Amino acid sequence: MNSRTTDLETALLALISDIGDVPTDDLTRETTLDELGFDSLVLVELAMKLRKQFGLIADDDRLNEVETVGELLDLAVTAAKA
Amino acid sequence: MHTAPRRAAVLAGLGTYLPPDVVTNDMLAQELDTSDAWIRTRTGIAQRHIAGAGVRTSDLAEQAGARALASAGVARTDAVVLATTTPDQSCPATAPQVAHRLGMGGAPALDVSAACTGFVYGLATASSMITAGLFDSVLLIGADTFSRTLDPADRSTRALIGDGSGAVVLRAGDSAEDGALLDFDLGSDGSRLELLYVPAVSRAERAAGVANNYFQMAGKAVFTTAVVTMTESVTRLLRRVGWSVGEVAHLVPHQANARILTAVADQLDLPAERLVTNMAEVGNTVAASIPLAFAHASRRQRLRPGDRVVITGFGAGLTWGSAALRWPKVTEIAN
Repeated sequence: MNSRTTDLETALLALISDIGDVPTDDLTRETTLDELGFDSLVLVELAMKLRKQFGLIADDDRLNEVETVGELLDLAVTAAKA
Repeated sequence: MHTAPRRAAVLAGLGTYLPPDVVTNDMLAQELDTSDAWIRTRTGIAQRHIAGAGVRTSDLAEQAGARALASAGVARTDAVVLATTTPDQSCPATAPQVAHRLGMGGAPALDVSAACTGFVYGLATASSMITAGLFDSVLLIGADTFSRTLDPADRSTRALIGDGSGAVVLRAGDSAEDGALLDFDLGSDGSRLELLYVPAVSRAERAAGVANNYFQMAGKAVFTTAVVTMTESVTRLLRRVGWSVGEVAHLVPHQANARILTAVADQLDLPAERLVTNMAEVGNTVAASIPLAFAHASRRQRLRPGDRVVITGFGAGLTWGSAALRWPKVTEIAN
């Protein structure tokens, strides 16, 4: 992983931890968004924050399919490489 | 910016009207698969006012229009502009009827159709009429009975939409005065019409059950597009008017959804307390939302004379628009 990717993952984990009110250490790739109590708009809100901080434009269709923290990290990293 | 004062439209009166029937989240939950908590967390709305049977957009418009005239201390204006997407009939426009009922028969009157951006588009239209020297005063009303377009079984749109009206009187003045409309940013994108859409359907198709003309909303795509578009529009407007985000005392957005508005403030780095929201009490009232939000904030002494105010809207079309003004000394009149 290059440093930009690491920054991105760290920032995204911090955002998830903040919104879900869960310590970053308790988040794993397998943690589901349902477990965090996220509703359907949280992913869109996260996408907006990533757009602002990293200029990332997430694919709406793929965003709709995300169910776990790991899938969200992968989608963000893919968008960063695009 | 130190430029010589120029002729400008100045906000001189504010009136609003909400139909008396209130539908709470609990009332919606009795007929739809939803709950008060579901609606509040996703939209920030607690209740909405709904126009009763037989109450038409012109009725709401007339009430707000009369109050705005009283607020401005005038009996009539040179022209009437009505921003609405739910006119009384497809032809003619609703504005002449409203002008007639307000005792302004003979005054030019027209509708502006730009859905949730209607008030901003109407403000640009009315303001331009004054700055061009065509008229010295214009009554601008935003009124909608959009609840009539909703699928009774659609919990998303039923939760969101309310009916209402709001109006302002604009008079000729100069750009150095409080209340002067200083600049606009307006735009549209017809390629994305299907994001927010009330289709035209024939009577035969509807009777046969093969099509309906209910309002359709692509929720998540609208969310993203609304946030990005309003953020960009406000940013362009601020550049034109020469204000920084830090100088904006209040952002009065179209009341689309509380979480959309929070996301816009976040994108702009605008402190959330500078957002004016009244969604909780009225929901999304389409063309009436910005004047209703003005009234809400004015009543609570949040808008003080001289405050730098930015309004922004986004809606079906797609359409969007923003405007800048310094808040005037004005007393709003509501029902």
